[in-house]
Amino acid sequence: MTNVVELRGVSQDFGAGPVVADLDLAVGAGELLALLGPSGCGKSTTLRMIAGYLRPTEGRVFIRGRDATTVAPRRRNIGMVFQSYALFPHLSVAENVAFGLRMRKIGKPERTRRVGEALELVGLGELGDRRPGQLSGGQQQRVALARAVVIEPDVLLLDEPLSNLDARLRVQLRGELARVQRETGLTAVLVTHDQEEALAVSDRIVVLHEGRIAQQGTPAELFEHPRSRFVAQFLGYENVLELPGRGPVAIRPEHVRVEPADGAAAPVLGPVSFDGFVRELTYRGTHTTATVTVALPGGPVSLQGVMSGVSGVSGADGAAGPTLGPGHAARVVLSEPAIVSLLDEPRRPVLEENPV
Amino acid sequence: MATAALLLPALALVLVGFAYPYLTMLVAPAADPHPDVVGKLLSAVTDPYVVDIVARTVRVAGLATVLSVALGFPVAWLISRAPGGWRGALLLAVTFPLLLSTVVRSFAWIVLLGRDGLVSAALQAVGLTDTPTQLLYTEFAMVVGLTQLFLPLLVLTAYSSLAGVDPTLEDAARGMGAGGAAVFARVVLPLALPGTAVGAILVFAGAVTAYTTPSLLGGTRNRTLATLLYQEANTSLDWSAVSALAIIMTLLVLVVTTVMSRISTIGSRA
Amino acid sequence: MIRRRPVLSLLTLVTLAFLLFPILVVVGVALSRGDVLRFPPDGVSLRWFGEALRYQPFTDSLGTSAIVAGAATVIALAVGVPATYALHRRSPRGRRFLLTVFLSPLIVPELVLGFALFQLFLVRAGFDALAALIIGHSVLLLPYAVRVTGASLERADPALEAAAAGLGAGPLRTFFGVTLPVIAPGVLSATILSLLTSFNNVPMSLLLTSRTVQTLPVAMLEYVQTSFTPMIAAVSTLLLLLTVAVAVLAERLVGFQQVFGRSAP
Repeated sequence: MTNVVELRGVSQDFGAGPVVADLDLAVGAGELLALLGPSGCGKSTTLRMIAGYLRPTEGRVFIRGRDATTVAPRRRNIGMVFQSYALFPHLSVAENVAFGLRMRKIGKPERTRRVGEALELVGLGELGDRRPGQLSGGQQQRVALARAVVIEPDVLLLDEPLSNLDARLRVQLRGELARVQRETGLTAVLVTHDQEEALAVSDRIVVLHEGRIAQQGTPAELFEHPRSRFVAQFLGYENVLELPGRGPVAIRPEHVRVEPADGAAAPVLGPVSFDGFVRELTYRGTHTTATVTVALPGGPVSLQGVMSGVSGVSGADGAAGPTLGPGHAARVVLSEPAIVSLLDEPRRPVLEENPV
Repeated sequence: MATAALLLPALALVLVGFAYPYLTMLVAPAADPHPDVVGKLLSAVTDPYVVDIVARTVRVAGLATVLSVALGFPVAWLISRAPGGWRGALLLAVTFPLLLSTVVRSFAWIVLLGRDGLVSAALQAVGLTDTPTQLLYTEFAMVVGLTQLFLPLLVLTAYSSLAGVDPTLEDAARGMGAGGAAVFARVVLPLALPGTAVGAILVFAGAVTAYTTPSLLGGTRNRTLATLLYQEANTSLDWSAVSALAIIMTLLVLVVTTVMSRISTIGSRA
Repeated sequence: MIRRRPVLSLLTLVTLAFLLFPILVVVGVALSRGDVLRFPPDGVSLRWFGEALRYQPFTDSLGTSAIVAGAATVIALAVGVPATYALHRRSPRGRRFLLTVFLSPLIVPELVLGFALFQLFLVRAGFDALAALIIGHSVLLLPYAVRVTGASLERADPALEAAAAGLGAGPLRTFFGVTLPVIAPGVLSATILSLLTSFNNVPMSLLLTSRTVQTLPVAMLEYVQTSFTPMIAAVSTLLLLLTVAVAVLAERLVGFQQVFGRSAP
C-alpha cells in the first residue's frame, strides 16, 4: 500500500519538554485517519507538522514518498480546514474556493468550472456570491471544506473542523464530511477530541496520549479491544479494575448490572459479581446508573452500572425489584463476555482505587 | 520577509527623529561648544522665577484636572447608562471638539472673557460686579480653557471604563440586597476608578504641557512652563538653559504621572 | 431618560453647552460685519471669509500643513504597518519592549520634542524647516499608526494567513491579498486620525518654522496674538467645516465608532 503521508521518528519540543515524542505514523491512500485524544495530547501539533506550519525538532515528514520536512506549507499540496474555518471575509464564497486554484495559476474557465463542482459537492451550489459573514456556521464549514478539496490536494487536513458547531449540526456535518471524503477519494487526516466522531467517520484511529501513540487500529478494534486504561476510559469504559487471576480489565457500565443485595437469587449471567454499597444514582432518561463501592481483594473500588428493577428496566425475572438508594447494599454483576482485558496495562500486585 | 526587516524602518524613525534629538538636547544642545545642561538645570530649579512658573503650571493643570473629573465623571456615567440612541449622540457631541485645533477651541474664550465679553456682561447682569471685568489673561481663564480642552478626553476614558463594568455584576449585587447607591459605591465606582484615574493622569499630563491655551488666555504675565520654554527657545541663545527647561518639563510630567498611577493602583488594591 | 435622572441630565446639558458653545461663538464671530471681536456679533457678513481666503500667510501655511500632514501620514503608515504586523504575527523577542518604543513619542511633551528637533535639525544641522516638520510629525503619528492598525490586526483571525499560505500564496501575495484587505478599516482609521492630528498640531510645529515655512495652526496662533480681528474666526470656521466633512467621510467609509472610539489613549 502506498503511504501518502509518513512521519518517521517525529518529535516536537517547544522548550518545555516534548509535546510530540518520537512519532511514527503512516496514512494510506484514500483512508480517513483520525488523530484522537484529549487537549494537549499533541494531535494538533502533529497535524501542523504534516501541513508544514511547524518544523519537527526531530524526525522526518514524507508526503507522497518525498521528504517534505523542510518544505514550506505553500509548496506542499495540502488542503487544510481550520477550526475557525479561516474564510477570507473580503472575498465571496466562490472567490474563497477559487483562491487555491488562482495560486496554482489555473485559468478562469477551468477555475469557474471546478469551483462550481466543489460547491455542488458540499451542497452550496447557490451561494457562490455570498460573503462568509452572511453564512451560518455549518455553511461556512462547508465552504472551508470545498476550498480545501477543490485543489485536489495530496492530503486533506482537518483540524477539529466541527468543534465550533452545536451538537446536532456536528452529527449532521460529520456525515457530510465522510461523504465528501469518500466521493473524492482524498486521503484525509482528522484531528478531534470527540471519540464518537472518530468512531463514526474514520477508517483508522490513532489515539494520542502525551505526545505518543497509545493505540491505533480500526474503530471496531479500538472500541472492542482497548489495550490500556487511558484508551479504555477515553472510549467510555468507565470501569477499570484489577480482577484477581485475570489482571487489569475494563467493562462498560451498560454491561454491568446493579441489583439489591439482600436475599438475592444467584446471578444469572456469569459468576463475576461483587457486593457493596451504593454511592450515588444518576438518572439518564432511558436508564439510571448507580455508582457502587465494592470491596475487592486489593481495596475498595467504585463501579458504575445500570440499575435493574427501577424505571422500567426490569431484572432477569421480569419483576420490578425494590428500589435502591444511596447507602443501600447492592450487588454488582459483570457480564462475562463484555469484560475486556487491558493487554498493555502492567499487572499490579496491589489494587488501586478507581478514580471517581 | 525577515521580522527584523519589518521592524527596522520604524525603529530607524524613532531613533533618528526621537531618540537621537533627545540625546543631543540633553548632552550638547544645538552644538553648543560649552554645553552645561546640568549646571543650568540646577540653577533653574533654584531660580524663584522658574519655581514660581512651575508652581503656576501645576496649579492650573491640577485645577483643570479636578474640574474635568468633577464634571466629566457624572456625565460619563449618565452616557454609559443612557439608552442606545442617546448614547451615540452624546458621545459624538462630547468628542467632536477633539477633532479641532486647540487654537480654534481656545479662541472663543478670548471673546467671551474679555472686558466687554459675554461673561463679564453676565456677571454685571447678575449683580456680582459693577464694572466690566477683565477675566482674560488670568489663571482663571487658563483653567477654564484647559478644562474645556481636556474634558472630552476624561469623559471618553471614564465612559469606556464605566461601560466595561459587567452589568451582570450590578445585577448580582442587587440580588444580594444592595440598593442603587450601594451598588454604585461598592461595585461600579471601584471598578471604574482605575480607568478614570488613567484618564485623569492623561488630562493632567496634557494640561501641564499645553501651550496654546496658556499662551492665548494667560498672557505674558501668567507664564507657564510651556510658554516660558517657547519664549526662551525663540529669544535666548543659551541653549543649555533652554534644554534645562525642557528637561524640567519632561521630568515634571514623568514624576507626576508615575506618582499618580502609583497612588491609583494602591487605592484600587486596597 | 431625562425624566429619570433630572440632576444628571441638567449637568450633562450644562457640560455639553460648556464644550460646544465656544464653537458657536467662533462661527458667530466669523460672521461679524465689523472689525471688533465681539459676541454676539454686530451684523452678519461673509467678508471675513473672503479676507481669510486672500490672506497669504494663511493660504501658504495651508499648503505647508497639507504637505506635512500627507507626507508624515504616508511615512508613519509605511513604517508603522509592517512593524505592527511583525509585532502581532511574528512574536519577536522583546515584543513588549518594542511596542513601548513605538508608542514612546506619546509620553514626551510635544513641545519638548519640538525643541529637541529644533536644536538638532534646524540650529545645528541647518535642515530645511519643512524636512524637520515632516520628520517630527512622522514620529508623532507613528504611535497612532501602530496602535490603531494593531487593534485591527489583533481582531483578525491569524489562521487567515495560514490558510492563504496552505493554499499556495507567497508572503507578498498573502500580505496584499489577505492581510491588508482585512485590516483595511484599521488602516483607514489610522490614516484619517493621522491626517487630523498632524493638521491640527501646534506645540511640536511651533519651533519648526522659518520665514517661509509655517503650518496653519501656527500661522493662526501668530495672527491671534498680534491682530484682533474676526478673520481668525473665519479661518477657524473654514477649518471646522473641513473637519466635519472629513468626519462624515470617515463615517461613511468606516463607521464613526471605529475611527474615534479608539482614539482615546
